[in-house]
Amino acid sequence: MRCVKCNVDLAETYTLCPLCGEKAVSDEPLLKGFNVAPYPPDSPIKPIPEEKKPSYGLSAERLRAFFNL
Amino acid sequence: MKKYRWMKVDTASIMFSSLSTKKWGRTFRMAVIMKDKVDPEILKKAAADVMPRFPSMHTCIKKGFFWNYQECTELLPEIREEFTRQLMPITIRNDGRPDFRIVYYKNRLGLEIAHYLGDGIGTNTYFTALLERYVELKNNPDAPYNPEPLKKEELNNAFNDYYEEGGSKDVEEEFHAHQIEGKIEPGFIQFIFAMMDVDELYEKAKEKDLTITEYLASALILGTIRRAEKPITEPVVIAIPVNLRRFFPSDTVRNFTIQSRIDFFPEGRTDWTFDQICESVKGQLAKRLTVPELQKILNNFGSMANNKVIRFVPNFIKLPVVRMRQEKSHGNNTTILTNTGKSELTPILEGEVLRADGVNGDTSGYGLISACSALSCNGVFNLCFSICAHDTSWARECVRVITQQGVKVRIESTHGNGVK
Repeated sequence: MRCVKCNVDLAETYTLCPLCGEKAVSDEPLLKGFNVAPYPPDSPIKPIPEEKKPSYGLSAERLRAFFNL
Repeated sequence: MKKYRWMKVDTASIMFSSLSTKKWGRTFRMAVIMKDKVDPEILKKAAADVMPRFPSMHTCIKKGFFWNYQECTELLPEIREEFTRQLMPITIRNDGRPDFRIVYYKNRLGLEIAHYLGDGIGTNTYFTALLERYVELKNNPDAPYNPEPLKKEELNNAFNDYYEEGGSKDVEEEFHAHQIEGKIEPGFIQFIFAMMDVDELYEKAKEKDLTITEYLASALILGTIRRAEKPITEPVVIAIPVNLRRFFPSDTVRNFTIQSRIDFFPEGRTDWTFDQICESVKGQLAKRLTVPELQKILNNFGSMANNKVIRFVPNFIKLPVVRMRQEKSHGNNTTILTNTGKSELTPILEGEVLRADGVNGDTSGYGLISACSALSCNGVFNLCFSICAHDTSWARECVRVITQQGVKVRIESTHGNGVK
């Protein structure tokens, strides 16, 4: 696929140009042999559940870290 | 109870970590397209195997009384299948996991990492080791792991290694760069990849007597001028992160980069040609990237990080100042162009890795709507536009400048047909 307006090749499955929104035309790409990166269907960013924090307790080393000594 | 282990942050991490909050953090991603679908179980085992070899990576940032510090952890990083096309920033968390994550989707495998853990060069050492171990285990589940022993220098704060106390310092220039128009959309980022034949791009740059970085910076400058709604009177400034290991030998896998720049003053004119911009850009980096000039910048950073008075100012006073300084210094840029150069595949990865991508994450914390990153691998030069908005007109104008020079470009977007 190609976008004639931007003069760029597009991935084979594209119907629109991601740059200008113009309809892609099924011309031969100028560059060949590219591997397409797969992406999941889009979904909004959601927080990741936090895992349990390891327990270190209070130690001299921890105090040294806190005061950067 | 486990022994508490920690390390001091490196000089650049002072700045990167100061900007991190529970909502935002300076993050970047390296990703590869593998020959086969990624096996998560093998990936977990590979991550566990390489963990002891890279202690500075397996840390999370903590706020101390005087400075932030890195707490070492034995927890595995977050490893999960991707569920979004966006890059979620690595934010301040409280679960003790290292401040990076490994993501996969089908045959794509990526490393998303907080910048305070290391720069692109340093973290690529970890990523390569992870990929190599993954491939080894895929080919032989019982393969022994015999990495090269850890060198003490790999954990050095190289900024301090080369800091000359009392040496001459760089004077930061005060100016305000043109900002690309548009509204940053919080929580949204899209990536547009412009892929080119690296040999063709190199030849085109050579025709203009420029490096690839200078050539692309020229294209970004002209794209910015064409995209602007009004004639630009401020300078267009492209920030260029520079790998200091090229000038100051170091084995560190932590941060050792500084930011240089390429600038252009459009002076309110809109009729600039690509050749005129290339002529103005030529030699700018060579002039700025000399050992004496870089030493001055190192001394500048070092004097701030090693100042005894600053050292004993509490973190809650110091951090907002560092944050303001960071935001101000990034306000002096129009965009960032990170070119990590040629990504050489090690023999074990040849044939297994088909393509590599490097992306700058959300730069909205700096107030920048867009940033670019680039690398080449397997003969393909991959320029990625990271855009914190739906509007892609800036990337479009920049790409059109490149294609008008006769360079063939292939476009891919994380959002497929794009988001309108």
